[in-house]
Amino acid sequence: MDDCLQALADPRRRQIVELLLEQDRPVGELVQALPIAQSGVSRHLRILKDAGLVHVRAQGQQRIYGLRPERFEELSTWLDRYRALWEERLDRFETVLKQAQSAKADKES
Amino acid sequence: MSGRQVIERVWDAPLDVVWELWATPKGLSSWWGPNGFTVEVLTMELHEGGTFSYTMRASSPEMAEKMKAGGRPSEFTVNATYTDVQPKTTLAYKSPFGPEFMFTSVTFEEAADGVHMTLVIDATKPEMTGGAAGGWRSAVDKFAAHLATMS
Repeated sequence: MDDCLQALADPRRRQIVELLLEQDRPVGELVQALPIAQSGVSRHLRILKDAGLVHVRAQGQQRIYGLRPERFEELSTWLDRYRALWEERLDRFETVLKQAQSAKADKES
Repeated sequence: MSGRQVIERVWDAPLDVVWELWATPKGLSSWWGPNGFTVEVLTMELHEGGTFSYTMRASSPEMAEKMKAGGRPSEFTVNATYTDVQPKTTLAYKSPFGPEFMFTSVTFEEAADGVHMTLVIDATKPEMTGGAAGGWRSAVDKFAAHLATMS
């Protein structure tokens, strides 16, 4: 998961992800849309690919890049789980709070 | 998950008791860790910029084994920094989260029916990523929004 976050932490790579959200694109189109050299685009694409966020397929002479939805869904699910973890933690808080109060009441009575 | 998570609870208890459980090492460690884990608070410097760090470790060999099998460490330390502390009112900190930060803040307000607690979890804040539209989080949100338009 960390490599996914690392990959998406870069604003240029997020821009690439946004372009690929619209549709799959060949490298040339991405180079045209971005103010960086082809080598830079290729490097970013390699990082995104290594993180499992994009896939590539050959179409004739062209290499077409697209997003891998499952990785994004994983990230999204993982964030949902974070909320669930807090809900559980607060349930424990409630239990401990009740114990603290009854202990206090015992002391005072 | 939307850009920001808010959890609200009402505690039927005095504010003093609630605050003590959040803002003392002994209090916090009594509920912070999940079952099967013990939490040791290392530092709790209750002021803006102060350190909040703790170690969470598996409390039994079985749990340690389970973590190891899942490829996770059986013990880890979290080093967070308080971003806002107002006694008995606000406790906010940021903790490392991937390459960025997770922002957590909890506020308390006394009311007739008890202490109203509001917990806000923010995976990233735009101002912390140089205004770059909220870090990796924005990419995930945009993806979710895109999926929604397709279905």
